Formats: sequence, C-alpha cells, structure tokens
Amino acid sequence: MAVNVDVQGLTQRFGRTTVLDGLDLRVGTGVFGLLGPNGAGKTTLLRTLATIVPPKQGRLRLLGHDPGRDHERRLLRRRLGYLPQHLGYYPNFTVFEFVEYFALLKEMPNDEVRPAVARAVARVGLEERGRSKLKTLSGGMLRRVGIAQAIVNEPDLLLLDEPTAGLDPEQRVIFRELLREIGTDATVIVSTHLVEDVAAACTEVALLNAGRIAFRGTPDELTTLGDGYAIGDSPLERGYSRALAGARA
Amino acid sequence: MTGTLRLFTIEWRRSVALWFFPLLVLAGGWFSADLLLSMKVAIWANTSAHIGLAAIALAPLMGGVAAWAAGRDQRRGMRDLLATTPRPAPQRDLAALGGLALWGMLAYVAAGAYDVFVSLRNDPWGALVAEPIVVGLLAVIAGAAIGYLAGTLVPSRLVPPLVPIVLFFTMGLLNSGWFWDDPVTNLSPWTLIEDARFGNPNTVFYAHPPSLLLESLLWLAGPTGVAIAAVALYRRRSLITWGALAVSVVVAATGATTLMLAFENPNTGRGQWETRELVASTPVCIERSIPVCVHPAFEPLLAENASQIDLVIEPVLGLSGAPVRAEQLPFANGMYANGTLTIDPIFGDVEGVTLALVQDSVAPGPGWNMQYHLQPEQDVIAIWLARRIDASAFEHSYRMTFDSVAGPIRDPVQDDIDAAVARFNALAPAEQRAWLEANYADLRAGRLDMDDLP
Repeated sequence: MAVNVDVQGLTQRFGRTTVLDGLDLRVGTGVFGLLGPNGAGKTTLLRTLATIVPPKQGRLRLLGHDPGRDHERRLLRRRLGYLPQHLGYYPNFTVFEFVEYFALLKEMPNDEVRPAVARAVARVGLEERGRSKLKTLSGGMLRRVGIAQAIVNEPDLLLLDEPTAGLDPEQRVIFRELLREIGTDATVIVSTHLVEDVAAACTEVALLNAGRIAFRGTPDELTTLGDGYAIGDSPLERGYSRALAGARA
Repeated sequence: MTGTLRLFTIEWRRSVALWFFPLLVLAGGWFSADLLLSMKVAIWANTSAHIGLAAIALAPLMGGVAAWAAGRDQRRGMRDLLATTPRPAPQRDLAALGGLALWGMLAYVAAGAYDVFVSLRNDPWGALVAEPIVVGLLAVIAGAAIGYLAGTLVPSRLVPPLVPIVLFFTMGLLNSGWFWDDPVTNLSPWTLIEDARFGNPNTVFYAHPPSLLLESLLWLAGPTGVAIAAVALYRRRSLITWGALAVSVVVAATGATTLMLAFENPNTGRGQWETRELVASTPVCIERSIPVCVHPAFEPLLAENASQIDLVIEPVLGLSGAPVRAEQLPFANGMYANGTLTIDPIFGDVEGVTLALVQDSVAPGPGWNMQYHLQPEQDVIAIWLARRIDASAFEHSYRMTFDSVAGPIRDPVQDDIDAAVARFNALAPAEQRAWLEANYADLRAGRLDMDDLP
C-alpha cells in the first residue's frame, strides 16, 4: 500500500509551547481517524499536513512530494482537500460559486470545473440549494459546503478537522458513507471528538496526546483495549479513555 | 475561459463594490456635473474635463471600497483555507481587484454619460478630448489599487474609511494654491484633469496644448503597478514580484519626472494658454445699440449678453470714448482704443464692462485680467451703471475688490460713494446724460474728484 503521508520527527512550537513533539506518522489509503483531547495537537497536525504552517523540525512527505519545495508544494496542493475546524466563507457567494471558486483555486482543468462542482455539491446533498447565497444557509449546510469545496478536486489527501460538527444525525450517516467511499482511493485524515464517527468510518485510528501519538491501531483494537475499563459510555470510548490514561500515566 | 478569468467573473459578480455602485455613480455624477448643470453653453473640451473630474470623487471612494474588500479574507477567517490552494495568491488578488476596478470604471462611465447628457441639452461645440477622460479612468483604477494595498497590509476596519480621506486630500492638496507654482502639482490627477487647458471655456480660442497623456499614463500606471506588486510581495516574495515592483517604480518615476518637467515647459505648464497658438474663428454677432459678438461656442448666450450690454452702455452711448462694439476676445477685458469693449459671455462680466466704461483701460493684451485702479468718483459711476441691470451680486464682488485696495479708509470712502450713487441716481435721465456728456472724458482719464459729481 502506498504511503501518502510520511511524517518523521515532526515538531511544532508556538512560542514556548510545544504542540507537536517529534511525531512520527505514516498513513496510506483509507480513512484515518485522529482522536485526542483538546490541545493534543490534532488541528496543528492537520494544518501542517495541509501546508499552512511549515514544520519547525522534522521531515514531511505528502503524496510523494516535499512540501518544503515551491514546485512540489504546488503539485501537492492540487491533490489536497482541506476542511478547517472553523470554516470561513464569503456570505454573498452562492453554493455553486463558492465551490467553483475553490475548484479554480485548486487549478482544476477548466473543462472539468463545472461538472466537478455539480458532483461535489450533489455528494453533500445541496443540489437544491446550489444557487442560494451562503449567508442564507444553516450552520450544518455551511459545513456541507465546506466539505464540498474540500472534495471538489477529488483529492488524494483529504484533511478534515471536525467535519461532522453541526451536522444532523441523518447527514452524519450520509457523510460517513461518503468518507468510506473516498477512502477507498485516497487518504482521508479526520480529526474528531466523536468516537462514533471513528467507529463507523475509519479504517485506522490514532490517539494524540500532548503532541505525541499515544495509541495507533484499528477501531476494533481500540475497542478491545477498553474491555473492562470503567470510564466511558461505549466500548470505543472506554478504549479511548484507557489509552489516554495510559499515556498520561 | 481561463481559470483566472473565471475567478474574475465570480469576483466581479459578487464584489462588494456592487453594493456601493449607486453611491459611486451619484458621487461621480455630482462631482463632475455640478458646474455643467449651471452652464448655458456646452463645450466638449470642457465636458471632457468634467467627465474626468468624476475620478476625483471615485478614485478615493474606490480606494475605500478596495481596502474593505482586501481585508475580506482576514475578517471572514478564510486565510487558512486559501493557504492550502495552489493557485498563486497574486492571481486571486488580481481577480478581486479587477472585479472591483471594473465596477469603479462602470460608475465612471455612468457619471460620464450623465455629463454628456447634460451637455447635449446645450448643443455642444467642438469635440470630446480623450486626455482628461483617460486620466480620470486611470485615476479610478489607481485609487482602487492603492486602497487594495492598504487593506491588504492593514486589514483593519479603520483603514477603509481612512483611505478615501487620505487620497482625496492628497489630490486636493497637490492641486491647491500651496503647490500652484510647484511642479509636484502635476502629480495630482485633479490638476491634470482640471487644468484650464481643458476646463476653462475660453480655451476655445486656443489650440489644444501638447498632450500629456503618455506621461500621465506612465505616472498613474506606476502606482497601480507598485500597489499590485507590493500586494504580491506581501503574499510571497519571488524574483518575479520583486521585478514587477522594480519595473513599476521605474515607470512611476519616469511618469512623475516627465510630468514635473512638463510643468516647467511654457507650452504645457499650468494655465499657460497665452503662449499657445490661437485658433482662427469667425464670431457670431448681433446688432443692438452697438454690435455684440461672441465666439460661436457661446452663441446661445449672445442675445442675453447683448441685452445686458445695451442697458449698461445706454447712458454713455455716442460719447467720446464710449464703446462702439462689444466682443468676446481671448483672455482680455477692458476696452481697446478702437472702442471695442471685451466681454465674457459665460459670467456676464458686468464688473469688467462697467469698470472698462469708467476708466481709460490700459491697452489690453493677452492675460488674466486688466488691472484697474479706480478713483472713488469712477467707482460711483461704475456702480450706478451696474445697477441698471440689477447686478447686485457683481456690485458686491466689485466692492469687495475695491475694499481690499482701499484698506483703512474703506468705510468713509464707501459711505461717500453710496451717497454719491444715490444722488446721481436721483437725477433725471436728461441731467445724467448732460453730466456724462460734459465729464465722461475727464472721468475716464481720472481727472475728476468726488466734488465734481452732482
């Protein structure tokens, strides 16, 4: 299996705070869940993988490219999809325009833009609101617009930060199905607090704590880890709690 | 359609400038057409300058709108998401700025169309002149680019309202009396557009000055290029952006230098009409008590002017030294030795006419204005003549001029003048005529004093 994300010794510091501490991570095709408490470094890791912030230390290869080089970073970004934790948007753009705007910014071939936009908007179930201005949409719909712009270029590396926040249960189910579908050909890294998303959609999961990986395995392995542990309402939550407690100890 | 062009289309359609478009059109139209509306004649060269003047309102406003638009990504929390996209940020900036600038240009065109409409009411004379119109258009684009740079560097909500103020007052200051004799005045689009080379109706008598279009184009394209390159540099430093900045600086410096040199040139300097070639024209005339003639461009004002002149000169008609003809001549007022009284049909010029009637004028030649040094008794008759056409506004203006010369003795002199005007006015027309027949030559020669008045 091709390794699409290859991170070695990644360190990120903001001032005196070390957010990622010599992190190693290799991820191939599939849906990779990123769990962890607040401040564990999940968002910073995703922002680093999304080439927003360069690493302070460590080596990074994404989709076979070195994002430290201008030309390679540009090639990489064409194959990248990113949904930030807090999606900004231009309120007067319509759904179609916003997604098309990002398709164009991702330098998609001109003749592919319109069909790709229509497809992405349909995949998040917003075809009927395609001509609505973003300022008229609900929070959940805006989240789906964010997902649409992330997947419009059918990325090989899709980075999603809290993608299901604000989605209703029905949409979450549809979204997980979408993740599984994309994950058959691409690497999807999903940062989330919702362990049920991990259980339903992820092929692999890592638990991040204090900038380091405290656990890595399949959701089933994390579930098994929680057997007999008291803290947590679901088997996966108990595994999460035990792994976290072990890391803190 | 290329990706950048498609981005531009989206940016233009959703530009914040769309919301300001009515305000932009109103501001541009008001600023450019205000004076045109009050004019009873239309000269295309003058209309051209007025079309350009819309930029004096639009360029600062577009700067403010662009500053607001440039801060959009910061305000909307879009920076992270945009940073993950491969298309170079300057292309995105160009698309956004292009969308803004196009709205500014459309507002400029709309304001200009209004100017043309206003002018068409008066059967305009001559032909439109491209230079001030193009300079105005470039100024609008430059204003937007400068505002966009300001909003990019400082994406604060305070910047958008500040940019229009700074741009407007910078242009205004350079165009003001502070810099009247300074070559830097030519760096203000306001000066370039409003310069009487185009703006003054009397330019109908002169050939158009050598064009400064190329110099203006270089100068205004320069800051636009500098602003765009600086935005690109702010996003990402590269050899291309440094190169673009360097080229823009050179272009701006070249334009600025040549414009300032043009200021020193007697053929292209500010207000240097008199050195230019006179264009032959055949005046249109009307026969009243004397023939009254104007340049063909001012024909619509001829009848009204002739009626007023008739009223003013009627008391002295036929006397030695009285006018035998009234004519609009380029940049001169007063009365020629051959009895030709010069008139300014645009402003009525009652002041100039009455002053010329009561004083032997210095031989008039090309120049701004004749210099009059009236004695009080001449002042009395001038005011009395002006009142024949109820020209109170002109009398007031004239008195202000006189007061500034009279200085400390102003009040007693003015009281004496007022009393003398009242006494003279109270005379029967035959007595007034008799006094003028007896004293007109001495009055004009300045050989009388107040005691000689009735």
